[in-house]
Amino acid sequence: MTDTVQERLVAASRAAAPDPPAVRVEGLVKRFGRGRVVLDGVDLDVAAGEVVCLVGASGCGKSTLLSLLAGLQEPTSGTVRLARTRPALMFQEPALLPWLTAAGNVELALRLRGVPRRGRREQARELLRLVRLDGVGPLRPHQLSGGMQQRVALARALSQRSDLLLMDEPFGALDAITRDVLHEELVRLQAETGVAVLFVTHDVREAVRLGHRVVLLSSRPGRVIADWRVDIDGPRRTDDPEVGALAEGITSRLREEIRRHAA
Amino acid sequence: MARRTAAGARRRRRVGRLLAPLVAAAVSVAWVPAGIVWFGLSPGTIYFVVLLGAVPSIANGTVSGIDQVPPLYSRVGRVLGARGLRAAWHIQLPAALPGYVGGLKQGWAFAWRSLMAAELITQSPRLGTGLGQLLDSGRQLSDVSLVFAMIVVILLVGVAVDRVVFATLERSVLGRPGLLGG
Repeated sequence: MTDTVQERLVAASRAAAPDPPAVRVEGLVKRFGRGRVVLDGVDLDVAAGEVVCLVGASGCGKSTLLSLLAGLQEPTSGTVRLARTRPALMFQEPALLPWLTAAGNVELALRLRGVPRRGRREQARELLRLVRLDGVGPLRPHQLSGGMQQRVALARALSQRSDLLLMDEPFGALDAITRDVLHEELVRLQAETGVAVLFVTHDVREAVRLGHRVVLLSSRPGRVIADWRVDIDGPRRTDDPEVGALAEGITSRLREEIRRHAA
Repeated sequence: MARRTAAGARRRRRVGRLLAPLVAAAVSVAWVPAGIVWFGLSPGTIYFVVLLGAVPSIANGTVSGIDQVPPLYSRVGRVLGARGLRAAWHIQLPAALPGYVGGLKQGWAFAWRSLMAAELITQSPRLGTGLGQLLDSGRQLSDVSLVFAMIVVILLVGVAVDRVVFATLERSVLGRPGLLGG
């Protein structure tokens, strides 16, 4: 079977019964205490297998939105409809448990998911291989660089076999080169596993480089104010002119938003 | 026993934090006379003093170990689907271990010093001969070399326990000696 025939079959089956969105958020409101409304009616969809990058000024509620989707907090009102499984969440810090080895961290995630002992070690090894960390299993987190720790965190997140991967500025603390490498890794892994990703960042270029769509969140109160579809083909690089052009457009809209708020 | 104390003390953290250092600090010599009054010149006095040295430190260490578990780890646990008892077993307990081992280390130090003090002060045929009593024999015989020899032995025991017992414990808990998180 040639590729095109297979592609056509897949497309046909998708059209007949499209995959449900990885997450559908409707009218999500989050208020802290009695006053501060952080999110005021957020509507957001992430289609199956789609990468959506969420940008906005600092403090606009991006992280709160992720923690609501991950189930770490309860919404004040509104609905969050997840496809099937609980989403996996990656923080800005790798947050690896220091008393476990790298493999141990992934194995714990598998164990908590209910994977029996016999399969765990092999699956953990396979996941570490997927993030290009063969042989790193026996090392402890403090022996790994920041980039490697985030890869282990990524392997741990992927072990959840979730339909949705939530990422909260995961590469923010890394140097530019490592960040670039991890961008490529993320794009490759996403294509391979087909997982949907909701990626929060304040770096607009990163958002354009990684996303199928970029969504802009306003600050205080948080609401979706703009949505761009990124139609740039082929492997993208952060310094591509097309990436730069769209990033500039988004940034000026973001600046406008920040100015409106400061006024 | 210290662990049960710690679990109970968890709610009354603040009181515990105030009291524990006080009790521990007062332990070294001050409790020996009380011990003698209550238990006489018997092994009971020694156990009493040693326990008073060790228990507050261990309890304190356990409580602060649990207290200082970074909330990020709890969040990680919840994101991975660990709630309640599973989270306590997989996350809180191992995370609190360094604090617990720290408490053990401090408790050992206080208990060792209290033991030496108690042995120096309580002399009785019922108690047999310990390092502290040998040290005092040196005093009684005005044998300075014996006194210094005993000081060296006492020092060596302290160092040996620290190096052998605690470094091994720390290494297995954290993968490297030293309890500072990294």
